[in-house]
Amino acid sequence: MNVLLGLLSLAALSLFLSWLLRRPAGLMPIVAVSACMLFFTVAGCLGAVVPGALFAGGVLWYVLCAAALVFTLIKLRGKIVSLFTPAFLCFLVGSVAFVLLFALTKPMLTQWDEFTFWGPAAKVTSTVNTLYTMADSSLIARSYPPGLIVFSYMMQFFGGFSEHGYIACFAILYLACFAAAASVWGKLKSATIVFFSALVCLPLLFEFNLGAGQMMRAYLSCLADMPMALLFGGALCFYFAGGEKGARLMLPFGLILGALTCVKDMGLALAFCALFIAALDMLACEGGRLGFYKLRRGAAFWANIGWGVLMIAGCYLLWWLHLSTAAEINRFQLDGSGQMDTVTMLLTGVTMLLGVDRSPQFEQVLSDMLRAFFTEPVGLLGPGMLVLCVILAVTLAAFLLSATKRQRKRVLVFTLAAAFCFVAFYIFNIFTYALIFNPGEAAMLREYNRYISPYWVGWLMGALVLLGRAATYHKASFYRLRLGRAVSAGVCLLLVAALALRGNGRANFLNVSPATYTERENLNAVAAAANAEGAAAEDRVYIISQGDNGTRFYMFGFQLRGVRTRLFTGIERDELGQVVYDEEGKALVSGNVAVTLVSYEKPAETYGPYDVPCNPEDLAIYLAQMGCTHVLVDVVDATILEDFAGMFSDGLAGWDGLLGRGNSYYKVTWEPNGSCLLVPSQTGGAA
Amino acid sequence: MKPLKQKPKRRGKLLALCYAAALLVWLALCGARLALDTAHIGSGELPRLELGFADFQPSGLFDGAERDLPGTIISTDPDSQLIYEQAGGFYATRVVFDAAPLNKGAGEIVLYYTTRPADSAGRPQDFSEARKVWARQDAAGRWVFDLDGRKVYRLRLDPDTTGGVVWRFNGVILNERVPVAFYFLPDLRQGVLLALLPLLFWAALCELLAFLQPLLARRRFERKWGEMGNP
Repeated sequence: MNVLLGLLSLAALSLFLSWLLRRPAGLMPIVAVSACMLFFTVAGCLGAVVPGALFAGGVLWYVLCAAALVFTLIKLRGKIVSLFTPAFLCFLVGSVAFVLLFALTKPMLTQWDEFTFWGPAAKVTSTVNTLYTMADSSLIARSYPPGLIVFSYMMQFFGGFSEHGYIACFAILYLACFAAAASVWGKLKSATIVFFSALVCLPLLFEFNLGAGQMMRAYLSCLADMPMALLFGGALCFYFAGGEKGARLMLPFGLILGALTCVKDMGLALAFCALFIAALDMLACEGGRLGFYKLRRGAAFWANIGWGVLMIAGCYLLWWLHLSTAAEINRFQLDGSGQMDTVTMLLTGVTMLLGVDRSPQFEQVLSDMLRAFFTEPVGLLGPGMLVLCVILAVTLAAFLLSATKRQRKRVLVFTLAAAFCFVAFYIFNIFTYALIFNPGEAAMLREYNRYISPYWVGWLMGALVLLGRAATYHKASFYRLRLGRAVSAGVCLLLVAALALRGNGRANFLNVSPATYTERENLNAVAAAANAEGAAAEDRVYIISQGDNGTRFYMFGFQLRGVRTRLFTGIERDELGQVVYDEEGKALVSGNVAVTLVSYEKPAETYGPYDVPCNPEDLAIYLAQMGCTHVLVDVVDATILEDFAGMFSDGLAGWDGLLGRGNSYYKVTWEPNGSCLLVPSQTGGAA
Repeated sequence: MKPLKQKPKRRGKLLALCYAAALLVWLALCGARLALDTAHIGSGELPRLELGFADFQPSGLFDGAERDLPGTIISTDPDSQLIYEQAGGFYATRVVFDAAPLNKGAGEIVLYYTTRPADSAGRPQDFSEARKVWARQDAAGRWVFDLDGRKVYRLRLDPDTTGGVVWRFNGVILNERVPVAFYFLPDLRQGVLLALLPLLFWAALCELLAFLQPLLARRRFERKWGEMGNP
């Protein structure tokens, strides 16, 4: 419920911005969200120099928003009511509804990526009031951009981190983007409601990675892909629905592009796409109307573009600077089989595309990607080809219904620019598959729709807004306007109907099965047991969870408050079975990320993907080297019970491998002879 | 251009009407289901059955008694299944899976059903994603599936999608009796849809009227005034 305070600050800022920028309030939530992301990104990065900057930023943010609200109230008095346009009301009511719904149903995080980054990063940032890059935590990957994390930090500034609050933040962000699009309808209530309903269906219709028979995770998922997609669409909608193109539109537009860059690495590409589309539109359709304060025409154009580029590049470079100085991570280094940086990837990709020295993987990916466009379903609607048809149909309707030549030209330019960017975006993705992914992942086009769909979503939103514009143009003839409204409503209802038909039978955020959370509940019980046995914030913990594939390891990293978890990576041994040491006398780790310990006697060819050979001596070396202070016993099997029981002072009493549980939390102690003894940390003695 | 303006009052009434209509449709549907189930109970076609592990054809599951864990069943496979069938088909309302995972999470708990008898070659209808119910949980922590009184031929209960789960298992209840109020109380999803769909329907109707009304109004206007040459 603390999220409601964050929402209040967004609403206050939106009202103020609406007055300041002379635009309908419905357009402003997306600007407020973007401003928040940029403000806290800067504050968070400042934290590397000035400790506590993030927290101070939070206080300042709320003070500023309160001041903005008071100012707007005094300035406008009774007239403030007129700011509450239907789109803005949809945003407010929808957001409150989502916050209440999630406070009631208490959804939890369940997906892998939510535990490797998005969940723990947000939690640690909220808990220690420092950006996750600099906080001492279990996080392994830290280089992801911070937009969503700091947004959650602001929203949950009071009352601390909660999973359902975090999930609600994402819904609020989505609705802010939808409100910007729905603002095109001005004061028309019913048209706004129909339009907004269709947009609310979009995340469900374009759900990424929806497996056969799986529940729909849209609105429950805390990954960055959908926020990025909707911010991209929202930026386009903001530009096209926002009215006259001057500094009052283009300055906040730049903020949205900056936020897009801060949400996910790929957001950089999409931000440039949005800027490119806007630039062509200004060039072709605005001409003399364009302004930027006192600048006109060409100068205004370059000022607008320059501001956009400045925001995008500024955000990107700020984060790069922060990573390389504060966190010592090279952002330009892309992970993967290719081990190449972005620029090399682009150059190599272009030469290969032109037919020079094509690698087999490139040939393969190229043909697969072309085929995937026609066959691979993106979301519930169908393959990209079909989505393109839907978008083009909407665009055609917008074109035919446009009242003026300029308006028709605008639709045409938008379509050409968006298509051009799509081709570029698609080719960029071909490069990443061909040059960055390992061959196995590239062959199956791993997570194809997660990478491609964001563009479809944004393009469709933009097309819908152009249709709305055609139907609300004040000088258009009476019948054209009525027809435009009817066609737009028809398209929106078709989208809602498509969701009802294609998504029928799948569980979604309204009727998510509680069985989805049994894994978490089971794990939370173990974590609670560990806490009861004396787990403390400064502990370094090694987790024994046999048969795990890493899921439970990362879940513990998220769940155990303040506790740092460690992952066993195997100890290097030579042919004679001797431990290999480096010059500093440290045992070499073999580097396999593995979670299931198996005996050296097990034949190597029978290893599972997460198995690593280990004996008590290895484990002791590892615990010493990693500075582990405690061991958490989660799941044991015969290997642990037979080979490792001797390390435990209670001999793992109570554990029998299936249901019997003994102590969960053991303290690492060292005997005078150097051997390791794990003692139940419970002060009251063994259970 | 008076007749072309929107009339807020009438639109408000229309909205109230939409909600009233939705409520009526809801009550009618619920009433129909209640009547049907009551009739089936009266004719003995909807008996309450308590099923044990032996009543199912298990796949990827075994009785925990074999591992000295009586009262449990253990899944060995992420695609473990409990299949139940009656040759002539049967009516099914609420199915209760009275069990709890003891050692790890279950993933998904779902119930598939088939709605057609075996074909002439004796092949039963395949289970499909389109005929699947997701488990809810009742106050006692039991897993509940509502099949809405439809006639089914086979049931397939998938207790987990993780494999290696030890289930405390107290049996399965077929056609658990529910109080009358249950038929009329919407669950969360239905409640939200009941709150939102009439609004969307109203908005769509308004859009339709906004399109049609001026056309009609102008024709009426022209019929009345046009002949006098004084539009």
